[in-house]
Amino acid sequence: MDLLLVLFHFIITIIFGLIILKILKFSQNNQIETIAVSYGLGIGLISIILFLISFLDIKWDRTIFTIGIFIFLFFFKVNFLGRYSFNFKFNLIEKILATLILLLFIFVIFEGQIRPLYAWDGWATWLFISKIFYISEGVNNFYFRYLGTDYPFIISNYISFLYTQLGHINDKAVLLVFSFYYMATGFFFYSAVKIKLGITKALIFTFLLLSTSELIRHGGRFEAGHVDLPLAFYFFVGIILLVRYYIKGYLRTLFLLQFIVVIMSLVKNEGIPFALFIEIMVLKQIISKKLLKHFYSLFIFIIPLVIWSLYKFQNGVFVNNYFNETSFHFDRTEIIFISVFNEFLNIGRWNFIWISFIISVFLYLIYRRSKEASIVLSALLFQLTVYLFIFFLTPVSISEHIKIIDRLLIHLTPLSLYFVAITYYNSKKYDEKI
Amino acid sequence: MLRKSLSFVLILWFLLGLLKVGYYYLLVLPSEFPLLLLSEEEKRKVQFGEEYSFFKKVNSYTPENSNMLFLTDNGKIYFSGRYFVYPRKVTLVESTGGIIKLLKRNLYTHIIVFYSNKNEERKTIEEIQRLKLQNSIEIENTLYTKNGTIIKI
Repeated sequence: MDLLLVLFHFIITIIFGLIILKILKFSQNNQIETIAVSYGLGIGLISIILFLISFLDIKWDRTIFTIGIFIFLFFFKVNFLGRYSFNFKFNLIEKILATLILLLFIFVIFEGQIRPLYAWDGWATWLFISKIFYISEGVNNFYFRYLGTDYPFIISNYISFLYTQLGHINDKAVLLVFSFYYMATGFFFYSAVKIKLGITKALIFTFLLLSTSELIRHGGRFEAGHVDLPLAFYFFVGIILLVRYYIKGYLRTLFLLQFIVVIMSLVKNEGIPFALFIEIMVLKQIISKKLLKHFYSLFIFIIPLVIWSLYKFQNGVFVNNYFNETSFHFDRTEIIFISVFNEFLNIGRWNFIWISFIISVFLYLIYRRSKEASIVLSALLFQLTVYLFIFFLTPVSISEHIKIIDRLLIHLTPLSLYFVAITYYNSKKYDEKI
Repeated sequence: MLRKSLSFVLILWFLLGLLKVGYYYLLVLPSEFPLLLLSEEEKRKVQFGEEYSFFKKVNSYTPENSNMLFLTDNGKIYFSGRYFVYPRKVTLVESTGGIIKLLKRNLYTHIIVFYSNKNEERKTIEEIQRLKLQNSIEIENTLYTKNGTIIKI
């Protein structure tokens, strides 16, 4: 019963996302892509709304949420099933590839539900925050002190929302959230590659991505960090939207991008530098094309992040602990580079993704460079550099850092494979296919 | 040359992916089927071992507003325990040395002790008993379970 209720709320979440996309006039020709974005967008916006409700000192309540959901469905007269019919026309090879991908989805959902959460940081932090919020009926600043963390709230709030709707804590049923992020990442990746390279190649690359040790054991269910797969999803969607904005320049794309960027910065702190990278790229485009009207969209990103930062500040959470006591640890150079290199060569975990990526970087440098490949590579290198700087700068011991290399790399996995795909097919001629 | 190398790597990757799907369905999935017969509680006991039973006992024997000191030889057990017993609050104590100073603050209602090494656990309990006698700290009740010990202060 709990699983059915969780699935019902996923549908509500997707519908909520779809309505926002409709308001933003996001092209809904590609249903698979629309569904994937709606899921991520819906979760993010529901969580932000829940935070604002708590910020206004209103308790989360199941009855109010349920009435709100029905009013919302009635008000928008959503005809979800009628509008979204899927029409796949696959040849035999494509059918085989689609079946392989489907088998991976089924396996991930099965494994996701067969046993309790395994990833240690899920118990220590993420699910714990959800439990605290559920019991407190809202965002509770107590967790900053008690857990000694300042992690943001998107995933925790959404899981607490599911608990509230279930009426109790079921920390296994809510793991479906992560299985669905796995599928959403696959759907969005397929649709982004399909636009460029066609169905067959898109299916091949999607299979490569999803079979990368089930995206590192579905990002948090067993290995890697608990919310790292959702962050990877938002990174990937963010960069694809940024590329589309660069090439087409539509304001509606920029609005959606800003929503995705603010969500990524509130999923995990590692999302903030990536979000800033995207904002700087947007600002560069706005200035160079003199699109002053577009400038105001930046406030979609700035306002929620400032409110969250003020909330942390008000509750005595500062970043000074990390950066005041530190210096640049040159002595870590050897161990950091050897560890990253070893991780790249860990084929058991990563298959051949990082080897392909390194070859693709050389291909990119030697052959013609598309604007898209340049943006994707810049984003990847920027975020990798940020992670290396964290390793060099923070006072946390290097042995602790090395343990989390896998979860940092998972953030960049879909984007890296996308770079491989577009570079392999020398994609300058595909720039216009957005 | 580079493109050929990349093609080769991508083909290898695809074959490895196929092998993995085969591995999941032929070996991993059948090995998971016995779990289908277990209840959620049994699965947790299998996954977490006797620590899970201990935390269930802590929840049964202590009120929700308890504030506890936790002595253990395994930091990870502290983190899972902190989750399972919430809204009871737990403070990890590295050794018996610092425990008296903390107890004198009058903030704590219980001491819970769980060691993987049961000999160590027994010694720790004896040490706590000795320290409380030395420091005139009253202990209302001590509950020894086969998994761990709950001391009400």
